[in-house]
Amino acid sequence: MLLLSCIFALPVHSESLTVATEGSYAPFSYIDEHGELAGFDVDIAHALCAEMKVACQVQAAPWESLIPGLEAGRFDMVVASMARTDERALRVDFSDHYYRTHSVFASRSGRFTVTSPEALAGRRITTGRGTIQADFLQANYPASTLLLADDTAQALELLKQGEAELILSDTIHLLDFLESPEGRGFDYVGDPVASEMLKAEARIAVRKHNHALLARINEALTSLRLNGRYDQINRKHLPFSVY
Amino acid sequence: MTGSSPPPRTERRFQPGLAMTISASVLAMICFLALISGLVLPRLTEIAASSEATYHHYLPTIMDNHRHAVKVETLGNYLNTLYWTDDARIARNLRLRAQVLIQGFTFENDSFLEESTLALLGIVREIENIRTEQAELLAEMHGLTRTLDLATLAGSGEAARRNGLAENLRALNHAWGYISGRLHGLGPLSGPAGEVRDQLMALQDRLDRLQALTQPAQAGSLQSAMIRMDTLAELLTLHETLSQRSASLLSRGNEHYERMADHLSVDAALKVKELSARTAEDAGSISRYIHGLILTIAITSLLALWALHVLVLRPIQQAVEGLHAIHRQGGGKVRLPAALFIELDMIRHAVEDYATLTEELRSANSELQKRSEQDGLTGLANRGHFDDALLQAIHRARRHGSWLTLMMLDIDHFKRLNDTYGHLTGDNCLRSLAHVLQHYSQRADELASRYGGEEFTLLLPGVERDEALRIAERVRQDCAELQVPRADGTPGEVSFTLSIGVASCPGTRLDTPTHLIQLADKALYAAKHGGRNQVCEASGNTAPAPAPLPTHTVPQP
Repeated sequence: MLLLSCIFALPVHSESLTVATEGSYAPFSYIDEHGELAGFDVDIAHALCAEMKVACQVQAAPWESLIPGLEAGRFDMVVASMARTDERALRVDFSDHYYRTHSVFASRSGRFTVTSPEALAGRRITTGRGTIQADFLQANYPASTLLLADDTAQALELLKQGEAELILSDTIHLLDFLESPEGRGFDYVGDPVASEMLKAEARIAVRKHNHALLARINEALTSLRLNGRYDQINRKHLPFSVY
Repeated sequence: MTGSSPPPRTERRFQPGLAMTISASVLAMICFLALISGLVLPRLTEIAASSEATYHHYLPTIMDNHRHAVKVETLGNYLNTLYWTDDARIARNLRLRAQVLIQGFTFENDSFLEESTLALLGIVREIENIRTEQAELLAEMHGLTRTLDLATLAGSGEAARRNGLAENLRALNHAWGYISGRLHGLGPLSGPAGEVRDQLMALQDRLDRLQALTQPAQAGSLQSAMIRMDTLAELLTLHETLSQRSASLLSRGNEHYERMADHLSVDAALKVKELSARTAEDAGSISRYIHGLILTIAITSLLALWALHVLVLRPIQQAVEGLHAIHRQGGGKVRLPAALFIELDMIRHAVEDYATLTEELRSANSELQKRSEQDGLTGLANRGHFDDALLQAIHRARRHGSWLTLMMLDIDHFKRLNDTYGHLTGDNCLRSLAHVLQHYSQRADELASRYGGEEFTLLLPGVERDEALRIAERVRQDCAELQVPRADGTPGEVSFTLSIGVASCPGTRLDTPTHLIQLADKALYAAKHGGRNQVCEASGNTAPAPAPLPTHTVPQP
């Protein structure tokens, strides 16, 4: 179907973009029950392409391969809830933010109440490799044991199996887990971590110096927000506005 | 336009220069454009500023407020749903969502919102805890009611039946069943819990009164029932307190919610409305100015076109026509209408002056020509003119086959006349004769001329031989009758006679001018030899002599 629409769209839009997302980060990008890529990021990517009047092919790729793929020219855009960090900004360019989120600890309900580095010393904490949460933990929780998973889905597995006592991840992502039947016994721990490192604004990444595409993306983002399309996508995937 | 009937030379009092007028017009146009720009530019700047403000400030403010309002409302919904729900799972999910939602507000750089939402989160958490506690209390109360059966307290003893204890207890058990039913139906909310407790306490009172009737065997179990009821009442009080607490938390939460809603009610939309009204107004005036500008330019262009035609091109055209007229007429007075512009008026004056100059040149020229053809003394044609006229007359006569007569006239004894009366009197005689000859050469082609000295010629085209002889005779007689005043002042007049040689030829026989002159000359010679004061006709080459005339005919030599 997507291929079909691409073929029909080709004569109109000569340009075609390859968009990458993670695919294992519900509710932002995941494989749905029909085996298709779905989620907030995926819909935002499609909406952006429609707004920019370009044909797009959205594909899932492992988190760690997103930036290298962009650099190698395999992708034109990465819409994967990626926050801007100084390190990443050296390799790729970022758009304006398209949603904002926090990070928070979660554990079995009632196990922990305080999340200070001292309170969690010696505890096993998990999170995804190459994420801002991993950077934050490495910098601030040297006394805790850090279990880095390949992606956040795997990190959640570690928590469920009890190999990790705590997880540090995005609140909305964790909400999806906590509201699910298997998340019943778990809960947020404490307030959101008040660190600038974790106050994340998700942005769209493009190849370094691709200013033209970046300007079009930013313009399209503004249009989506003003024409209501953004809110529709937001409502479809999330219980409240995350902009 | 032309000098045929020239109006008097007109002058304008107001005469601007063309160059100066053009410069002034251009300057006025620039001033006008500057004025329009001065009016339009501030409006455009204002429009740009309005759009800028709308785009960068008001629109984001409206968007943000809208977003915040929706979030705050969602939060209010979470709070109220959480308050009213019995379902612990729903309560947990609502609290989780509220937690995430509220964390989002830490991004907003709005400390009021941040504090209020955090306070709200505290309330949400507390209500959730209260609900959990209440659920535990209810479970405990349900446990207590399940194990209590008042009817069994009476036992089966005869005494119980006798003193009516069993009956009373059965009635009380009925009431208890009602109470425990209500207890089971008890939710987290305050109202019914208080009622149930009141009913329970009434039941306890009645149970208390029954204690006197009981046997020692039953007193213990009644006592423990009483204690259990006390516990139940305590739990109910606790439950009610919690309910009241959650109700007050809800109202506090709703206060926060309302304050946040008020906080978010900003006038950005109104400002945008005002800005767009102002922008529309500005755009309206700009469009009016532009219309005015276009209209003015159109009218000015038409006026300039008209002015070019009437004030510039027409005077130039008139000057050119004036020049053509001068060329056609060879001068004369040319009068042109005055032009508005100095430069064009200068051209007009130049054309008019040129006409006058041309006229003067022409008259001078014709004077010169006359002089070159005239004999100075007599005013008759001179020899040169005569030669030209004779040649042309011969050509014409040959072409038309008409007659041509040439007379040669000579004053008799003119030398003697000069010697006797002086040269001036001689000149008078010559002039008198010329006067006579002019009389006989009135028609267009006829010409009298002074051939030299006292010799004259009379050229008469179209005059045949007989007619010529008659004319010659009349000339001779007129001359003989002349009384010429003396020039030296001496009284008395002088008279003289004339000898005339006539040569008349039909056009077909005409030869060269010299030949005709020779013929006339020979006839004159004959007249002289014949005794003067007579007309002689040339013979020879001329036509066969007609009938003789009553004149002296000189035989040809």
